[in-house]
Amino acid sequence: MTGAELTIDLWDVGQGDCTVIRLPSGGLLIIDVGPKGSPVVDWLNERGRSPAQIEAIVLTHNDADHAGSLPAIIAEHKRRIGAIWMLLDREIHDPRFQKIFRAALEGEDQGFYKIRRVEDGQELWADPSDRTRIHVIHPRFSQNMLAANPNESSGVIVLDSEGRRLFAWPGDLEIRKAASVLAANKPWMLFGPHHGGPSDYPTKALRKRAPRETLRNRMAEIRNAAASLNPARAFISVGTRNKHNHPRPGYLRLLAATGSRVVCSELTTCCEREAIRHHRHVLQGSGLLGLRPARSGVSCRGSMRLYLKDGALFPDEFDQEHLRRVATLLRPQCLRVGDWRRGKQLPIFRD
Amino acid sequence: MIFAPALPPPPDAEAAESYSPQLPSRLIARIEPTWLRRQRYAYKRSVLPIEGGRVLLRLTEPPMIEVDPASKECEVIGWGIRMSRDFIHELPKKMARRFLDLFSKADSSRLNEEERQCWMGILDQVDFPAFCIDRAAPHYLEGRLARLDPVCLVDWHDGERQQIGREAARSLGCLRPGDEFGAYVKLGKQNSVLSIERITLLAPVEE
Repeated sequence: MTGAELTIDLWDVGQGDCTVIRLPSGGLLIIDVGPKGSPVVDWLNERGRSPAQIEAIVLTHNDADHAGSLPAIIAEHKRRIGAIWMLLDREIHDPRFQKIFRAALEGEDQGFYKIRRVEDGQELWADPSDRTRIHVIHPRFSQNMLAANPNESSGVIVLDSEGRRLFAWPGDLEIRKAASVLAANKPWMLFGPHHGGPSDYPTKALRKRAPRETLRNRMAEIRNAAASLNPARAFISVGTRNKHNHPRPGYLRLLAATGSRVVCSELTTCCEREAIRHHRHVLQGSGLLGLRPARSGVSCRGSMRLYLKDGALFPDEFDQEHLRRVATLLRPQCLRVGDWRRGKQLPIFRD
Repeated sequence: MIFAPALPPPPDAEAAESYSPQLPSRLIARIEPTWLRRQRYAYKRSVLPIEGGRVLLRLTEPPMIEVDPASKECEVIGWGIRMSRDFIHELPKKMARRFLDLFSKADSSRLNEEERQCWMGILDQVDFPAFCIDRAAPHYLEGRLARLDPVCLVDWHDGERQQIGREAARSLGCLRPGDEFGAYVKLGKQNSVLSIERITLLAPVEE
């Protein structure tokens, strides 16, 4: 798209999150880098002819599926990194923390970049006229300190343009928490959260053992949260054969029922098993956009690109083709709106 | 037999066409000489070498080739390749070149509408992830050698314990179990380890 102010690439990295934002200066802002073996590393390594400055790497939280590729990026590109933004959500002597961030800490010690804390009120990028900005709205200091687990204090990054909230990256935050954090200004598009399986969404095990009344209340709260968020679009970054049963089909249907257009990066068994068995991609978004595909899994949308222009976000030109192809799947959860069945006319989404 | 038998004279195509205004269409189809019809063939080749065979382009569906006997030209359906059938032996090169051309244009967002459609069709016919994995450089990873014999096990920095194949494990031969190391690792599909190089020993992490 010509004249776009920002280009946002939502990467298919398998089970993990990664977004690369191309800034008007030509620099990159990376929100989460994906798991070990992330294709974004291949893509950055191949930028030999025009290596871009990595203005900032922002980690919504410090789990391996969001930060696993950090050592690989630092080893090759530490001279081009401006800053690394991360949470201090673990004990400093936690070996998992040390193993993932040893390279990051060494790079800071050597003076290549600064490590900053992801915290409410921090501005990651703003255009000179201050019309568009990317900033952090969660967690506050106390929310970080009091969090019972890392997912609870996950950073929430938002993109605002001309007073409108266009995009939110809530990392692995619970959906109810995300709804309360984003209540004041709801996003047009939502990333996840938590690979389509928000931590507070009842699992099969919980459904079996929890009292019915508790479950009913929880589901009502989740329904309210989804309805209050009410994003026009949602991107679920999920791996085909992930061991956490992500995404939850019920959560996808919940979003779809509100008229939200949901797309998943990879195909999972809740939509069709045959295509996975025969390794039949629905649409290879990564290849079509000139990005690199994930090392595992079967692509549904693959990667997706958004353009920011005149205070609005526009999806790439493969959107309709993906919708057409998804409709041929056996049980596409993202299309289960009303009484839609395969072969019927496609549902209309409010974009 | 010394002499080849004389070839029968080709049917008079001009004559057949000259009847067309008067004859019903079904009859025209019967009169049209078969040797003038475009014929389709499946190109039964599953791998195209790129970069001297170091990178392979695997075809998941055989491309269809349409041959026009009149112009002696053949066309690879959906790839946007037309060439004289006399140079059909150069087809793998042409297909590899076409793929690289569209890949480079997609990489730099220079595809026009026609090329975009063509690229979408080609991606449905090739194993694009395998192509990208072949050409990817090794990633820097950190890990701890958990065990070397009888199978090599490594605990990577992200917490995953992985069994390393015998070929790749040879590079770790000089390490002792418990050693922390950093290395450039060539990763394959499903993050399988294909090779390990440029190993450095790291100070152990206190647990």
